[in-house]
Amino acid sequence: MTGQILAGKQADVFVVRCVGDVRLGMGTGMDRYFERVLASGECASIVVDLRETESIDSTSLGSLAKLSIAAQKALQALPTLVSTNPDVTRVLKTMGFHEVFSLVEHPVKAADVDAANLQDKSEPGSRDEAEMRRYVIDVHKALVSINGKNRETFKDLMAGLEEEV
Amino acid sequence: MSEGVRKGRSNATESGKDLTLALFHGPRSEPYGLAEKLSDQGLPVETFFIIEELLDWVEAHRQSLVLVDSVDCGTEALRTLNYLNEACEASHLALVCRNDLPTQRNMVDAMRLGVRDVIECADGFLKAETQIRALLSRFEADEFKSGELKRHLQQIERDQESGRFIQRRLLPTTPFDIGTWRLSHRLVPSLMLSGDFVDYFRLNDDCFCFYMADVSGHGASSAFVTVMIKDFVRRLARTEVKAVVEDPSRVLSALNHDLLLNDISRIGKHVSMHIGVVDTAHKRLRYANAGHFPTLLISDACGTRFLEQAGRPLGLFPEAQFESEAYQLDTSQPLLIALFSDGVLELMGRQPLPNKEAALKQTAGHCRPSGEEIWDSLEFDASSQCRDDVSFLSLHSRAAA
Repeated sequence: MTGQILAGKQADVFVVRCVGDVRLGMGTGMDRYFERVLASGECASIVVDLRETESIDSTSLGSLAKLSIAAQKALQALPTLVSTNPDVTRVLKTMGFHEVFSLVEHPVKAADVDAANLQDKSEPGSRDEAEMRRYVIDVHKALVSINGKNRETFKDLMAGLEEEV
Repeated sequence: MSEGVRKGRSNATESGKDLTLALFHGPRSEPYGLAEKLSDQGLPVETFFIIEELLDWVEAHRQSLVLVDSVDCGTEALRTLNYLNEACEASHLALVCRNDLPTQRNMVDAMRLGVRDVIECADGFLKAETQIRALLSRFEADEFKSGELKRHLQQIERDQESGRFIQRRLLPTTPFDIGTWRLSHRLVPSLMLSGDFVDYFRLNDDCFCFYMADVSGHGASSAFVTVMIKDFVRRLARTEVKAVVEDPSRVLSALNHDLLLNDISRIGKHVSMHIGVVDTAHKRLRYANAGHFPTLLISDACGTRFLEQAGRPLGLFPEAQFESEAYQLDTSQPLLIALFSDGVLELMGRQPLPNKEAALKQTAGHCRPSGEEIWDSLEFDASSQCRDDVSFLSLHSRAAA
């Protein structure tokens, strides 16, 4: 198996990372795991990180779609989906994922966090807007903080869930 | 040297399984009464001194336990074991040590050479007999389990083959001619049963419907969903002909509703599906997409292109909406419409998606004038094992006279 689905928390952002050639084939307990995480009430936002995804099979995409549905119910917000591989993004858009995720197609840099922070200070706006901005900042921070060094903080779902099923 | 080959009975066990026991006296190993002792205790053993005779015997007995008697576990004994392991198909090879137990290193070597147990015979026969009995009963349990597994596997294989036969019967005739149109398909499942499905059929005198559905995952569960889809679409097309002709996206909406009611996403299933209706009288194609990729490929006198269209997959989103789009067909020239499942892209190896799409377009453009099958022109290696189901559907219209 060349692909991995990793999950972990960065502050209160729940991050799901799909790396390499991701295929669940017959499906696993992924959906139940996502439901448990959302029910725990410990995460304020969700990010699906497909920056290192080479390809992804339809079963995995189905699990992500269900994560979006569950997240919208639990958090009343669209989860963020970062996809910088144009081939993957094409497939996502054909499946209408841009409607059920807040789709980010460009690489996220530390400067994005600074820009969002700056904006946050200069324009307080309404409470909802402020909340939304905070949400965006948290998500960007989480994405920037993901690097080779903190790989071990992520749980390998494909390996981990096989035992649970 | 072939002294004392006793014609022992096989060891009939409680479950009625016949296990056969052989004792081979290796180099420098003289008989010392173990075989007699075991036979007296109701464990008949055949004794061998010549390795070829042992091999013949093993060949004639499917379930055999071979005890290799050895004075020590030195080089000579290991050489014999090596030879036995390579030449002998015995179900189980055990080493009987008459003197001291082998050293750890010798033990590891013996295990590498296929020895599965070491029987101690230094302090008389009692310990050895107990060990051999335990080994026989474990051996029998293993054999029983593996027999059960084999039977289960055969049953599942037969079942899958029947399923495959039925699934093939559910596919439309290929090729199938409607007026100037020739409809054809090809389906290659990654397992015995496929999660891909294609269908085409007449709606009325002027119109025909076609679609390709790809159920996530593969195997039996996905194949069952394809049966639901075929039944649903055909039924809807019979009762709502006008609606389907005017707006094929209604099939997607209705099917989405039905799949949600049946809660297929609970078992990790959802469906991507591309549907189209060709109106031969008005020379019009209406089409709708539910997350299927790659989208419809059309090749006509104006060129070859994918008709990009987005839509959510079926069976996941209750609020999903689908739209039909129309394409005017110029049937005065040969025309080709093709649909592929994403497994086709996978067959094309590791190259960027635009390259794969370009290759499909080029082949479609090449095949359009003659109506030659795109599938054959793509020259896929049929023997290559694909991890995903692969399917292909084509509609070719030769130029109207």
